[in-house]
Amino acid sequence: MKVSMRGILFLVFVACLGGCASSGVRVTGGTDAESLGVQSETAATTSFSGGVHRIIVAYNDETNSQATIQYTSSTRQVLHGASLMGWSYSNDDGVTWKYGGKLTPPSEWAVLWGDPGLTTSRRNYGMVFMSNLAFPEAKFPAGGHSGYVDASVAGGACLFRSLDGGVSFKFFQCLSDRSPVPGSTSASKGHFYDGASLAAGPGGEIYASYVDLDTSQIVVYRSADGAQPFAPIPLPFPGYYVGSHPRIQVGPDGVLFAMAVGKQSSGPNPSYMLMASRFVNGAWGNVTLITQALTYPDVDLGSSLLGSNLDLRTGPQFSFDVGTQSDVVDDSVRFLVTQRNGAGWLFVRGGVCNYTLTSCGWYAGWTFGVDTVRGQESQRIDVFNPNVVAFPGFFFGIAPRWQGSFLTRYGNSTSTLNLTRATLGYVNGMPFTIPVDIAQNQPLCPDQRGYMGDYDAHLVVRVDSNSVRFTRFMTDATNGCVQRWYFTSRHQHVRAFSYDY
Amino acid sequence: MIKSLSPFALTILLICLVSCQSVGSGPAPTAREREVEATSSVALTVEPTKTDQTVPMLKQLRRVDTGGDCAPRYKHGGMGACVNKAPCRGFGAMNDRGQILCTCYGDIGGCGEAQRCDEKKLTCVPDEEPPFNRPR
Repeated sequence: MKVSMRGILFLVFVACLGGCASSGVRVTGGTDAESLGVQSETAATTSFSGGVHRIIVAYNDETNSQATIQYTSSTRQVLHGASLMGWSYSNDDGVTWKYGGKLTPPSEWAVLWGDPGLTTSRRNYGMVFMSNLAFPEAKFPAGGHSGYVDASVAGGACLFRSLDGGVSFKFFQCLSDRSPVPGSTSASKGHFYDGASLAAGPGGEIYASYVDLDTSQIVVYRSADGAQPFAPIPLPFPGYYVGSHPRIQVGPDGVLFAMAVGKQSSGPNPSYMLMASRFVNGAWGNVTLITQALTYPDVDLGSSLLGSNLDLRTGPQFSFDVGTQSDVVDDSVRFLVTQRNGAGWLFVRGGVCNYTLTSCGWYAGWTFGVDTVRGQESQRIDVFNPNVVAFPGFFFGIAPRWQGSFLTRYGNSTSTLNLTRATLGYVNGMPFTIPVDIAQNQPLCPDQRGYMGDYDAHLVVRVDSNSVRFTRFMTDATNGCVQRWYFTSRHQHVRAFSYDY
Repeated sequence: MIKSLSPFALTILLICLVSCQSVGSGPAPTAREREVEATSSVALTVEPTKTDQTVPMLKQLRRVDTGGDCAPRYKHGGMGACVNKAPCRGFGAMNDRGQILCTCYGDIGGCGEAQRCDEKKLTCVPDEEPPFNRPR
């Protein structure tokens, strides 16, 4: 077969475009050390330091952890000094990534155990805070801990600070509540914190929040300027039962917003509600009930891999951001929340709140997946793990952006996921959106518990004169799935998918 | 080499190079997607569906230390409580009338025999079910 030069060039062009469009960029897994360990579950931020604009991504990092985290096919032994607190950064807008390193537990703390949080000071763009859950020495057995992580060993969180824009970090402070909880023998050695959400205010203040599983409350700590130590502020949802990770954001005027999922009703089919509150002038306002929500649904992919069922456990099933409102209505808070339809499929709803949170609601036009199964769907669709990102649009007259992203599973039996984005927007005054896959058929490799990273980051990474670049991270199993043990699997690495909008 | 390429080939290569300059970037928005405004410039024609703010949420009962040595142990770690000298698959709490009772986040009486009280799902789950949603 004779192929012309023109034909060859056309094929190269198509291949080039296709390759650029969907493959993403490998963040971890490119070196032998990274490849031997797993990295997943991301938090990300950007910084500016020494004339360099930088993207930083933290993740649960088992690079070079073989000496302190030991597995058999059915067990996991965590030894003193173990750390999952690793990160990578990019100095070229995400084209290439460099491994940042691994932080070691500070004095009086035995283990740093992931669930990363990251934020950058809005007064000093070189100041970056990173958070991980932590095991206090007082709870940690001398011979190490075997099996699941629970209140018997987890007892707080530790924050590290970078003053060079995320290239290096030093220990800043650990956060722990040792007040006794009636009925708990372990709380007085440090309450069991889980999840992490960090945010920065315009005055230089830094917030760190967690769910306290000993008290079923969201706890929030504040540093006034990133130099003074963090101290707790009042509880945003007192009196409610809260089980989800929190998410927090700070508005342009310094108002702190918090959302979490609380329990609404008991019984064999309990219901849960997404709740929101604002911290203004040293006090939280009324709690606003937004809409129905879920707590950590598992996703059964209807298939098996390496001899085990392919199930995925999930992270917090809501996200929100605070950004620019429409000309005609105050929709300056927008959210996505996962719900379950009558057939048990997961779908994502989008909606808005006004800035004061006195009015919230969802739009049918911002529904992703199937909210009502009408019997015409030939294949199951599950949509979950949503993220929302706002770009305020104040640079050089660039218009505001509102982006959402989520994972999508197509098919009654599948072993892959798509990563999808969408503008949370309007056409002619109607809420309207067009979902676009930014990654398709991404292979999976969860461990036998279903773990493959519970949540991922989505953020603005670059602003040009006419476009805004967004990056959404995702766990990467494109190196192949060669091992699925109970507490670990290979390969799990971090991949970044970027797009301009 | 460049000189030997036709203008068409050169154009193709340049486009290719430019398109790949930002490695990994997704497809550009379509014209139809560009019609979607992130912020509406005209009055909205629909109202968002709102949640009734008067529907009550479960209120936390005050936890109490109930002592005793009859607390059941869960299969995958952790334990319940011993409330009023009876095993409780949940925790002890005091209601508005000052009564001490066993509850699992509003499920009065706690969980059934083959269940445990899960602090993240805030409800009773099968004791066999591993605590998947604990940290890593």
